[in-house]
Amino acid sequence: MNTDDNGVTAWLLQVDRLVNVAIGQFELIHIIDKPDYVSIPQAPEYCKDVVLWNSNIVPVMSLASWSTSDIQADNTGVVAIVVYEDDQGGHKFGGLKLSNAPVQAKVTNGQQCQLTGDFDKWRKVSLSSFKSKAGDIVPIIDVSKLFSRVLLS
Amino acid sequence: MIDMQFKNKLRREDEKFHVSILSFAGIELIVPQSEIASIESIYELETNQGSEKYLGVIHKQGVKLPVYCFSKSMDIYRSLPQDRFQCVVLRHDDLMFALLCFEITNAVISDIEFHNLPICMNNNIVPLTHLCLYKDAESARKIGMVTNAVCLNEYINKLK
Repeated sequence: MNTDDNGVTAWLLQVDRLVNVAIGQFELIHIIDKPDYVSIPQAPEYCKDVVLWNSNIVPVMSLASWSTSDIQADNTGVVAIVVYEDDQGGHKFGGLKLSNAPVQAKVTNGQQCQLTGDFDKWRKVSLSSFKSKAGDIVPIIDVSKLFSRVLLS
Repeated sequence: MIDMQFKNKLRREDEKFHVSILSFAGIELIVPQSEIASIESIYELETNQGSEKYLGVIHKQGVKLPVYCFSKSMDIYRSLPQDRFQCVVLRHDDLMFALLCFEITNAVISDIEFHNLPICMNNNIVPLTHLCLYKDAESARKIGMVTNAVCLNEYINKLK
């Protein structure tokens, strides 16, 4: 997400009661309400489900479950379908479980901040971060990295 | 890239795939029909009192075969749940073992598309070779979980 003085538009995704993350405007392509999950046995708890979307089998990530290790963290059943580029330069789709419907926000260079304290863990999957108008730290997610093997290591 | 050896194993005439669908605890595993050696009566099961991974044994052609029973998340059950009515013997070369299922259904599927497991969930523990999209007799396209005897055996060996 490159910003200029006027800022750029990002999607804010609420992944649990306390944490919002951001992705680029064109990375979110669809919202599914209460999808039919297929649970994959023995898959990581934070990514145990897939959904069928537009003839694609889409892995669905629970960032709430990953960030808090709380297996009950999944909540409303809203899933954001995101698009990313894989290692071979192809387009792939992923799903993110959300607590609420996504909202758009303008983000400027002046809002940039460091990931500190409780947010340290997010460095692994973040491009950068900023402070929201309410003063909360918001990691900007590297969607390709999120759906790579990085969380498995 | 789908393993061609795997595809060839399932493939029969005109791109039709002969599969068996093992149902238990609300999940369905799709295995090559060629790997189903037999379906035994659950009454043949000699349950095991020890702490082994297998729930018990059955005797087939003078050999004791371990019988495994899995939960929805493919954790090992060490006591017999009430919803298992069939004992399916899987075979691959010399490898032979049995799984307890609610039901086994044979199907010939022509409209099936195999997909690798998404890399973000492939922790080398998941007991599946692939996911697939297919149409069964009753439904629109659905997601299937594909496995085989070798994959299941490797999974069982990894379990503590």
